[in-house]
Amino acid sequence: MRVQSIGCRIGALSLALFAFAPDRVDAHQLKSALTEVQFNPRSCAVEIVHRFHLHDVEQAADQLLGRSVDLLNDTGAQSELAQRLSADFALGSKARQANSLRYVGEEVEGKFLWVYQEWMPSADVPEQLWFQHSALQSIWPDQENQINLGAGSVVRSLAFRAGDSWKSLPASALKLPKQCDGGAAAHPAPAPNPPRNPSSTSDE
Amino acid sequence: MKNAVVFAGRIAALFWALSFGGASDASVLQTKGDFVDKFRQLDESLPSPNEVRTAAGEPGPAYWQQKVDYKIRAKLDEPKRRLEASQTVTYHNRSPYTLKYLWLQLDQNIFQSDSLASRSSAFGEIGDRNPATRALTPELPAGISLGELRRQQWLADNTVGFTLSEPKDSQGKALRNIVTGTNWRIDLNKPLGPGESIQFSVDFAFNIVDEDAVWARSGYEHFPDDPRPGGNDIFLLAQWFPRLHAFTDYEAWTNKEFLGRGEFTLEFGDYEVSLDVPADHIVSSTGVLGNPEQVLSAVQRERMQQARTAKRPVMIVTEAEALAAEKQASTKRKVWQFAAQNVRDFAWASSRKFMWDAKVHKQNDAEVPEVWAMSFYPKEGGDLWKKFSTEAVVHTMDVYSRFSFNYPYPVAQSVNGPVGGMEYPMITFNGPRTKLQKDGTRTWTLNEKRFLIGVVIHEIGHIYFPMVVNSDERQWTWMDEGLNSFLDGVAGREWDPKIPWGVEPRDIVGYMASEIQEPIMTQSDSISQLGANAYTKPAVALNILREVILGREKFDYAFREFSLRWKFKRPTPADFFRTMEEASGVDLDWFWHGWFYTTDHVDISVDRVWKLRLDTRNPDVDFDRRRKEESDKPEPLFQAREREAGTDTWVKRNPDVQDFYDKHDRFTVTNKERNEYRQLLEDLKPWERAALERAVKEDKHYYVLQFGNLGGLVMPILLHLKYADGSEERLDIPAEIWRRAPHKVAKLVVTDKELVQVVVDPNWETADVDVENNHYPRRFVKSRIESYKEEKPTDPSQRDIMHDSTLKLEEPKPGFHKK
Repeated sequence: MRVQSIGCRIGALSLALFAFAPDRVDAHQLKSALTEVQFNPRSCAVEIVHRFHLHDVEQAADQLLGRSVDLLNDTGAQSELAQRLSADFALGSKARQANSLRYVGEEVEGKFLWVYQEWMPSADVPEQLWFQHSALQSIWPDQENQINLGAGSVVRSLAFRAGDSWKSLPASALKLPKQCDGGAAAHPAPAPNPPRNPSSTSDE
Repeated sequence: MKNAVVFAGRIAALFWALSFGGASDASVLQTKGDFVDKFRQLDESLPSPNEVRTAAGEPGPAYWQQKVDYKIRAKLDEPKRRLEASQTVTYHNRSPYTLKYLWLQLDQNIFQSDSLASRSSAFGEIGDRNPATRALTPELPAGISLGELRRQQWLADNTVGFTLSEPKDSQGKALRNIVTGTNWRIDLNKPLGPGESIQFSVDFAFNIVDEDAVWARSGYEHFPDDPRPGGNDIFLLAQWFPRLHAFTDYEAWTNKEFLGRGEFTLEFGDYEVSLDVPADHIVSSTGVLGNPEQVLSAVQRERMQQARTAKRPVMIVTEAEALAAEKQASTKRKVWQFAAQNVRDFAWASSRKFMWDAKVHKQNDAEVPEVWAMSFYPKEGGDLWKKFSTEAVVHTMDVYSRFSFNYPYPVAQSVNGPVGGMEYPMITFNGPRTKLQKDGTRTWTLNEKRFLIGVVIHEIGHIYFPMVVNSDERQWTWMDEGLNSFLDGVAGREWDPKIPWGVEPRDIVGYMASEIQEPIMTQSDSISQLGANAYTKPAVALNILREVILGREKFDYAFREFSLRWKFKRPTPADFFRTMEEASGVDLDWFWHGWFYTTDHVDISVDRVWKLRLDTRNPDVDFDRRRKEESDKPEPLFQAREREAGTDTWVKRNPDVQDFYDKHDRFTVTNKERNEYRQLLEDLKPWERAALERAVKEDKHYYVLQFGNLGGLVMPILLHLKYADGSEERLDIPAEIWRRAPHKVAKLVVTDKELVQVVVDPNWETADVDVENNHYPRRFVKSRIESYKEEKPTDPSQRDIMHDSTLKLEEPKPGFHKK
């Protein structure tokens, strides 16, 4: 479905076709996704958490998977779709070179489809981290994908719109250690989380 | 000063007043130290109150707004997909000013290649509404989407924008005029004084845009596969006639050009509209149908009578009738006549594909006791629409009326067409549809059902905000979208709490922590992520205001008061902020400032907890306590090693050489201290002695809790305290604790019990971006991925049953323990 490579020359400017527009566009969609990239010292992994609006992915699912699916009730389709979406995300520790990421899984919770990936950084910590994020942009080009690098109050951000190439941020935002031994034993046990979808227990 | 603005009646005075809007007073500066006044009063940023808009946030005694009435005759040319019309406008000048000219909006001109929107759209830009383009980068050639190509080709092949006749006044005299993009100035032959009215008329026409190609807010959708040769269309008509710009007390003419995103700023008025369409079309429109005898069959009129008392929607045009109509086209015409009072806009839809259902919503209201809730949809909407659209319309009115005012119009409609979701007075366009399966049936997913109910609630909700509470959409998207998203969350959860509607504080945390955002108080066309900025963030803010800061009783009263004050009037952001404060009786300037005027986020940490105990001053008690404190300290390593090695000390080896100090330690109490203590008690005033005695007797625990504000946004500190005896307590510290110390603050907690754990905001109610630093002692909060990995094995859907069910039953292997 992606036609990145179909190009046609107009004068000196190479102009590529990069997307199909769907037949119908639902203006009520949010067409925005958020990806949080954070280091977890307990697992020594850089955790990549993609949050897609169900409003958006449901509309895209049929087109991306090439068949009619009921996303909420079909976990197989969820998984297939999530892996397709994650394939459009790239993280590189060298300029414009994608690292190999581990696909962890996906789940539907609240209004969102969550997609999880991990990257195990090596001992030599890069200065810059490179990103690409074109998920859903082949379906509707005004999809905006935001990346937040780092946790807490110090977060660096990138926004990706259809056609955007690699972009980079200083890796320091991740606070990667020189060495990581997991150290789970040295840390106190994780606190119990409140319900992750507060709306399901809301008394409203 | 107040009077000067209103009664001087001169334009100069008006602009003088306007110059006080905008940024806060930059002349007040903290030039030493790092104090930041998070509680600075907002009046510096708000426009000065006056007799039009008071300091209370309500319309003042001199409040005015213009009124504009329209009489329009329009003809839909289906084969050419063209609209031709003539309109007579009556402009009532109720302002204290004399007008030499009128400004109108020509929204169809936005599609023209020389419009400001076309000329100012950046290549590869974030945030515009059109199909995408990609700027040239080192790695990739510049790009253009097929959607953008289709749009450009369609615009190249079709003439777009308004064709206008010369406007004429009521005497038939031509009016000088000039079109600048989507704006149209008509010069009056004679200045229009306060209290005067003027009438003018104009003919206009335009080619309706292909909604799917052009990505507009209205247009036609073509159905090439319909049985009728050449197919059929659904026509959605909005922004379809030259509409007056608003002339306001706060901005004079609100003539900021239409750039596509900032929606509309309009005047209320009365409409009489006749719509000449193919005879087999069904029309849904703003207003009340004036000639049902001429356009509806006797059977259809009879069905409408049934709908008056029916529990569920009654089909006025059945599916079979709509399917029959799809097969051929009538060559005859019918003219549908609609009238609407006190509306700020007028939209309509027309198609032979429409089926139509209706139900009457009864409300306890003397003026509007009955509202016709109706839906219009093609077979593509199908049973999904039959079941839920009209019911969702009724549910929305139930909930919104409780929070604001009774639905003020006689009709509320939901129409299915090519537009995903868009609102107009009495009529909304909504996109969700069924899927056609290979066997010819139509089904829908659970998600699509949620979208339909959600979008109908949202768009019908817009009939309250901004169609009646008439905010300035061109300037402030959040004023209608934020308020409406907050309420559609309430209405959605009241429909079915199992559906994840609404906006939870967690939803906005990623946006608020990020570098890519603007303050909510940013003009609509300048916002990069409109969904997060103008929908979600203000809706979360209002939710927090209601559930955490004000409580439901105060919030609901103030919100309703705002709605009532500004029903059929034009509120500004300042009017909202002021009313919510004034009617709740709570100073919320810090809240508006933090959430609406800055890009700060919430990150409150609990950094340290000290335990303190009150000295009794009684040496026999205090010295003993200090002795115990000393003995509780860990044994020095040297001493422990010596002990383990069995080394005897000199003292132990020489017990015969001892003195007084070998028998009495340094905590030994003498009469010197006892005498001092007795003298102290003697010297205390009676109330001081009583206070000390009681405190000593109660012997409470004193804890000092230190908090940091890392995000900048001050918020209440919601504390969850856990004690050694297993009991728990919630303690809410108001945001005002930060007023003198915006970065770090400490709080004393006095309790009978021993404190073992402190958690800030345990239920994630405040949009705190970092919940790990909310625990003392520090606890790791599981990441989403950690939780997922733990939960995954318990989810039965993770089992590969297809494979596992092929396995044979096996004899168990010999067990580890022999029998």
